[in-house]
Order: sequence, then structure tokens, then C-alpha cells
Amino acid sequence: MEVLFCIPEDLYSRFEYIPPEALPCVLESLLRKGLEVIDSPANDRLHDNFQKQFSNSDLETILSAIKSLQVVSLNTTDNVEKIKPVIEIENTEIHISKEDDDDELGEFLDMMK
Amino acid sequence: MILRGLTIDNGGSEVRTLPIDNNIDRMSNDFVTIEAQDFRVKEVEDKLELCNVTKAPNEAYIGIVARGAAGRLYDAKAMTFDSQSAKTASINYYRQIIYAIARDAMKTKLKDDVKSTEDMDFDYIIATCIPIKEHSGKNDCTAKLKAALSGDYVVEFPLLNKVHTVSFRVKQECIGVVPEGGVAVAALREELTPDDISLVIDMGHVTVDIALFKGRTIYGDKVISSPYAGSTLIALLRSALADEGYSVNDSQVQRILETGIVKHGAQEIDATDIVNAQKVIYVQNFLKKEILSILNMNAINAKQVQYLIPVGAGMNNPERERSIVRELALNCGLSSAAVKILSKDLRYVNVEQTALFTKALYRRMVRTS
Repeated sequence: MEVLFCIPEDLYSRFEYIPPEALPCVLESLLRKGLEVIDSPANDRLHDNFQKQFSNSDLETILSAIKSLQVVSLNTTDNVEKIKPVIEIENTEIHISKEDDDDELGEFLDMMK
Repeated sequence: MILRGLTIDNGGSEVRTLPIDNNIDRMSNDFVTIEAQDFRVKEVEDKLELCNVTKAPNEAYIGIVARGAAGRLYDAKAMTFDSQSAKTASINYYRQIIYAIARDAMKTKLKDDVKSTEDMDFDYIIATCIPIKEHSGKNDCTAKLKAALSGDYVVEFPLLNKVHTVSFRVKQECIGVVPEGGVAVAALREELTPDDISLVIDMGHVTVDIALFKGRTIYGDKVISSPYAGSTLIALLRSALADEGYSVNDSQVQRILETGIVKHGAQEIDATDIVNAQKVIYVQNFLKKEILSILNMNAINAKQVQYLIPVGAGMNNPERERSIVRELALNCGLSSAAVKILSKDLRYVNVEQTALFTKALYRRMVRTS
């Protein structure tokens, strides 16, 4: 089984050390904040990294967690049209992407050479 | 390759690393080099205290580096750098950073059982801080640092039993450099107006870096990197304690500075008065003239300073009577400035604030990869 993740980098950094069983909570939290799960080209590097972090059985757990999350999200919102994020699961491929956050450092980033 | 984001603060007393997804790792700065013929496997508690760099972009980085208890087990040569030359010009400075990265890589490799199928295990994105004088100076120390550090590395940890080799790559564009002390100003980004004047005093072990900021940029072109730093205060206190009959080494003095307690045999003696007296002497005889110098050089009156930003272990416990921060405010006319305490432990201000830049660089590199 192969699961493709295109994960925003800040999410990835959190994923790296979050045990699979905790991922549903993390995903739900991010989804509620507006994370959009769409079908877009995966970021190979992140994908490769993510694949190395988790075994196939872990990925199965994650996949089922996301599927159940979709159901939960739909059930808890009256107006489906308003639901953001949109989750699309095709076969076993899941792509998660999100517009990059504005850098929290703003103009202070110029301090870094 | 696994992408890793790592913040590094290579200070005079400690090297601190902060992975973007973990806690600070502190390494005492007692690094040594060991000749290959003098090495043999010995039993130590922390098996990551010794490494052997076998591949590096510069021949001078090759060889065995150790620290802590492991370093003391061998016939070794100390790897120090001092206030007499630029940190970024020192080979030892880079060897310590390479050790710190390799240690992080090996810890990750052991924890996550990483088995890379590529030529390198890890691809590092690094933000580090250098003395503000080097960061803002005309010698382009940041470019030198990036050129000196970038490349492919293979490092062995021969004291480990099983997996003991790690490889990593550091690309020039994956290195970000910020000014020690100055980086603290970024912590005030929500409240700082463009006209606010901040005085940053970063009291390290080897130097005290002092700079004025207007808004988020250095004010004027004058910064001070004074050698009258933590090591001076330690020397003063050690001498004062010796006069009172207490023979202590530098690391014991460091502890006495923090606790005010001298261990004399089985007894614990309150040395708060001695410590406070030396802090006052240190401020009045050494630090005060440096603070006044930078104010004068930049034609700033102390009353024009909105924020006083203390950084470094010596600045801890600013609320206490006779603390260095209080003495500075009293002796330098800075009583009306707001003192900004940016960390529970002020020795971590640089590494904690630099970590924001590591995350930003990490995001940028992932976006463009």
C-alpha cells in the first residue's frame, strides 16, 4: 500500500515525532483551522521522508483515521457547503496541501543573512 | 534524505542545539581533539560524546572530537576559541558545530531507526547566531561561515555498539546566520515601533556583545564586543572566594554565581554577599564603561532607550537585589527603560529566538525544493 502525503512543512515538522495513534487529533485540529486536503502533486521529498517515518501498518492507521475524520467532520456541520477543508480520497492516495502561512517573522526575516 | 531543521548556538561555555521538533540539547564547551593513535574504545556513560569525522569538505575538520567525560579519558588537546579573534575564523568553531550536527543526526538515526537508501542520511537546514560584530562587520563573516560549513560529511561514533556512522549534507543556501543578542529584538516584533531604541546586552562567557537597535535594525554602525564577559566575572569571584579561603574551580564558581552557595567540605555556606559584591564591581568597573561607550558613540542618551534586553546566563535573576541587570539600570541611567526578559533562562534567548529563523528557513527550503 502506498499513501502519498503532500504536507505543509510546518505540519510535517510536527508529524515527524508524533506517534501514529496521535495523528487523528493533530489532523483534526489542523483541519478545523482550515487545512485543505486536495488532490495536488505530492511533494516528493516530504513524501519520501514521511514514508521512512512510518511503516505500512502505521499508514493504514493514519488512512483510516483520516477517513473517519471526514465522516466526523461532515456529521458535525449542518451546511456541508461551508465545510473547509474539503477532503478527497481517491483510491488510497491522499494529498494534503495548504497555502503557506505568512512568515511570522515578517520583515524581521531580513535579519538573517 | 531526511530533512532536519536545527538551530545552533555555539557559545563560549556551551554549544546548544535546538531541533525544530525537540528540546534544547546542551553541550559543555570542553571539546578536545584526540589523535587516532591515542584512541581506543572505552566505556563512557554518554557514547555520543566522542565522534570521528571521516569525510568533510575541509581536511582540517577530519579527525576525532570529544567532550565531557569522554574527552577526559584520553590524551587530548583542548579545542578552544577566545575573544582575541573572530569566532568565524576559527577551525575549532566549525569542528564543534560539525560535532553538534553529527550528534543530532546520530540521535535521530538511533531513535527513528533511519535507514537511508541514498548517499546521505540527512539534509540539514541550519540557522545559527554569530557575534553581532561579526554579523554586522565588513568582513562578510556570514559568507565565510556558509562557505566553511557547507558540504558533505560522514561521521562515526566509535563508542557506540551497533549503528555508528551517520552522513549529512549542509548546503550553503540551507544556512541562515543571525546576530547574537540582536536576534532577541525579533522577540519584540509585535510591540516594537520603528522609532523604538533597544539596548541589547548579550553577556556570553567569552565576550559581551552590546548593540543599539532602532526598530528592527542596528542603530548606527557601532557595536561593542567586549572581552570583559562572563569569564571576567568568574575570575573576579574566584579571586574573592580565594581571599575568603575557598578554593574553587571555574565550573564551581559558575554554580556559586547561580546559587550563592559555596560547598566547603560537607557544609553549605551562604556566599550571597560575596557574589553580589563582585557583580557590583563587575558592572561598575567593566560593563558600565562599555555601555556608556556605545551610547556615546551613537549619540544616544540613556533616557532615549525604550527597551533594555539582557541576554546570557549572567543576566539571570534580574529581579534580585544587586543583580547585574539592576546594577546596569542604576549605574548607566537606564532606570526608565523597560527591561525585557525574553526567556525563563536568559542563556537560551539566542537559541530560542534563532529557532524562529530556522523554521522560516525550513519553510522556505521546503517550498522551493
